[in-house]
Amino acid sequence: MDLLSGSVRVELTCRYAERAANICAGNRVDFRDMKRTGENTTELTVSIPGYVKLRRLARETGSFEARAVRRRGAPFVLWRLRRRYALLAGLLVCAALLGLSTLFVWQIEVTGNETVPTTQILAALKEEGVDIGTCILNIKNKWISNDILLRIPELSFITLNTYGSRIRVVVREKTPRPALVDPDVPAAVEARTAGIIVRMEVEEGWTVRTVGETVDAGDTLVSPWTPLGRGRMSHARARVWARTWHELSLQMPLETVRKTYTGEEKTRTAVILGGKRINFYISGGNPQANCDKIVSYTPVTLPGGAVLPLTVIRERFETYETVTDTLSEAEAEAILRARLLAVLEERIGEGSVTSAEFTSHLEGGVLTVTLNAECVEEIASERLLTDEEAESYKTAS
Amino acid sequence: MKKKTGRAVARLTELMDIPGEPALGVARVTVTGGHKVQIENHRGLLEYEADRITVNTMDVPVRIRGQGLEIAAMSDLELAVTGKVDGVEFVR
Repeated sequence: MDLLSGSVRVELTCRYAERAANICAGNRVDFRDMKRTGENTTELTVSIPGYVKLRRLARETGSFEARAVRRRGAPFVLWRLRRRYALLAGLLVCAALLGLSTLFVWQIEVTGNETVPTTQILAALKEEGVDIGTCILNIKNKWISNDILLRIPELSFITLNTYGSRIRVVVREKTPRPALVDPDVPAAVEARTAGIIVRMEVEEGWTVRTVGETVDAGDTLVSPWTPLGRGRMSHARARVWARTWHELSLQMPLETVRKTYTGEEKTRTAVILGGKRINFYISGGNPQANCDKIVSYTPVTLPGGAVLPLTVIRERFETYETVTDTLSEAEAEAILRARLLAVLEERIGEGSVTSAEFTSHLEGGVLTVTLNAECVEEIASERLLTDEEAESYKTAS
Repeated sequence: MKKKTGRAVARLTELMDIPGEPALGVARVTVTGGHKVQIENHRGLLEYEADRITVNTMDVPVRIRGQGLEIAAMSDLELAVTGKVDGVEFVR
């Protein structure tokens, strides 16, 4: 604070230092670092207004003499620079720019989002005119919040809090409504795929197929119409497991082309200042045809962690050559087998593979691998029925 | 009269169990370790030497003995002394 407001080290010449100190304290001239420097001299530090008052007290009381021995702080520096007009003008311009910069958004921070990506929220804000470099005075929180909620229906709440040049966007996401099963709507359980039924767990409805029967895809397994007494229409629910057979094929050429980096690199630099990109290069586009472009964005931050509205962009171009590789038949087959099993596992979900048999043949440099697998999987699939379909079940029984 | 009022206020603060220094203006001496003494509600310096500083208060002067003593800060209400403090005593 002393450096900003300025301070003066004063040498007091008097026989009794305590008398001078009491005069100072009594007249509200606060001082510090009082030290005897000689038999009749004492030094102390006062503020600039304190020094002016001290000189007046010295004149009025005649008890001591006051002489400034050192002046420190911004006011004295500015006083020394008073004739350097260009420098003062520069300082004024800097101060004006600094003041002006507080009117613009430097940083946007999004908190509270879990599933909605930050980039989506930032993009929606940008469409509403809120971006790095936007004038804070133009931001109308209420209108923007309402528009963002319409743009991103997954959000239930959003607010924009302004802290100087920083905007903190606080969002809350909607809790997804669980899918409700209406028990009054008639539904039938059908086979999702063909197979032989090995197990059935029927919760609701009338079983029309039994364990050991062969069913085709789309066949009704559990009917919504229960023909007991006067009969009853229901929402059929069941879990049905069946032995199923799958045939999958994949192909792969034995000759493949891969990239080999030559080690030749080129780097270009650009910056984004307040939302405007400034390139430090002349020509755009990739400098060569066969090269990969790797772009890194580095926001400039202060040691305290505050992010400045300046992002350094480095574009690195790595040149490569294409090399043709030839895989052996065994290597290619191993790759295809692993991929086929992965596809099968994804298709049967929680089911299990009982047996798997692979066959392969090479034709025209392309290897084809076929998987024939027997599995046990759940095949039940609920289907909501229209009134006509429900009526057809009733008449069929 | 003033003395009687002072005694009454002192009695009252004692009965109400509240600190006396704001009401009575009595000095409060705070010693921090062996290197700093802070005195609130002082009435000025009586003596200032490198080995002893005597401070006037409403009740009784306070003498600080030590070596290399300095007035670190002083205002009309507070005073802080730094240096190697050997002792603080009341001069009666």
